Amino acid sequence: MTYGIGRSRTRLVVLALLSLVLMGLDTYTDSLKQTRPIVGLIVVPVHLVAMIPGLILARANSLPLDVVRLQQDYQALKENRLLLNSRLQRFEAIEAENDRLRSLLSATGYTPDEVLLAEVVQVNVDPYSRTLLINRGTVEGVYEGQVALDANGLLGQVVRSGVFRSTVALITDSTQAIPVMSVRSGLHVLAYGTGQGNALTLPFLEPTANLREGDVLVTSGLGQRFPRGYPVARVTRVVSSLEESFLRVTALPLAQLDSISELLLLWPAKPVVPFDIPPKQDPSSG
Amino acid sequence: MVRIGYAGKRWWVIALSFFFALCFSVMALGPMWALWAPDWVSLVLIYWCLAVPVRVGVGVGWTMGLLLDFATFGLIGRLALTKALMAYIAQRFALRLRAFPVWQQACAVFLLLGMEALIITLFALMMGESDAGRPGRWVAVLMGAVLWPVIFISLRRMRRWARLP
Repeated sequence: MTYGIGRSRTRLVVLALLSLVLMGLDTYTDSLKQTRPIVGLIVVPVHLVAMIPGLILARANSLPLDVVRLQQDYQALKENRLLLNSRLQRFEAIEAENDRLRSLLSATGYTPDEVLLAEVVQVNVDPYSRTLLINRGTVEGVYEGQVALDANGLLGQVVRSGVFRSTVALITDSTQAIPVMSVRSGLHVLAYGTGQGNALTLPFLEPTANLREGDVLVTSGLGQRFPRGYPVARVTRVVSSLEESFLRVTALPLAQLDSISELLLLWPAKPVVPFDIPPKQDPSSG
Repeated sequence: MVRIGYAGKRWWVIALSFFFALCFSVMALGPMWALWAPDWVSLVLIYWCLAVPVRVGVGVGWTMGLLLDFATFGLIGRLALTKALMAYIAQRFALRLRAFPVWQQACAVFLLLGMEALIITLFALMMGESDAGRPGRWVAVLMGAVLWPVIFISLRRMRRWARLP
């Protein structure tokens, strides 16, 4: 044939090797980090066109067709605001007290973390993982490894930052593991994303581990990636069986992972420091 | 500058079809529809490899795969590799496949897409991704084969309008 099978075979071999090299570089080194945002600009038109149906749908959904529903939403928001405000008043008092106690202990004062609201771009990224595309990039100072939150808890972390767009891997992605701590017992564990459904798994826990259904898990700050104290998940199932040497623990993320349209990017005010080693459980204190 | 043999032929139609395939691939359809979405880029690539194997082959497949890797923020080089391989096989059997009726072509498309899904599953297993063998990937393969006649007929109409061989 005129188009030359032999030539395309050599081309295939060369390009296949090149792809393998690229995959290796992308997985094991940071050398592609600089090129990715620049080459990524080529596909910006693709993203722009792909956004159109999502925008039209969103516009259609947001049309004020239903006055009753709008009024209900408004009422609910108003009540919610009142509730939150009243709770905030208490928190402010507690925060002031905490600051005073800290200064008495001559510990470093509490400085609030900085946050930035980011919107989820309605395009479907990597079909092989649980990631989101957001409308913030290195221009706004987004960096890889940055923490993303929603109103209820930890959402995930930035895995790739482009100039104007970044991707966030959700905590349920199969590549993610978060060092967490049980609020009730102070037990430190790793919560792994499962990649399936809306669940985290806590492997390698001995049957005697102090963990119950309903325990709230917060970030422990170990690993110094996720700032400590942000709620992550609630333990939903603890199964122990005689055949297995470890507990089977499942936890449900507190963040609303199935319907994300906005999220908060976090700049920790100070370097992430882990929680202190939890105090020994004292039965008389409870 | 004007190449006599190519005069009046609208080669840009190929680029345009790839552009829209890329757009469709990253279009957010919501969880309901995303499950049924086929791999548009692969389908368009297979069509052009069968129709104009002289022009579209391994190089174009690799480039499109790489662009898709960038567009989906995936692992760079993964889809480039599979798409290049797919283009090679499609190009290799272009003359034979072109003589087949559409439904037999759909079977071949099914095999090609299945091969790609298999390779990606293997990569995912090697990377230790816990959801490597999830069924959604195979639904996309089946949808690709089912939609092949539609793709084939619409792209053939486009090809004839563009006066490509």
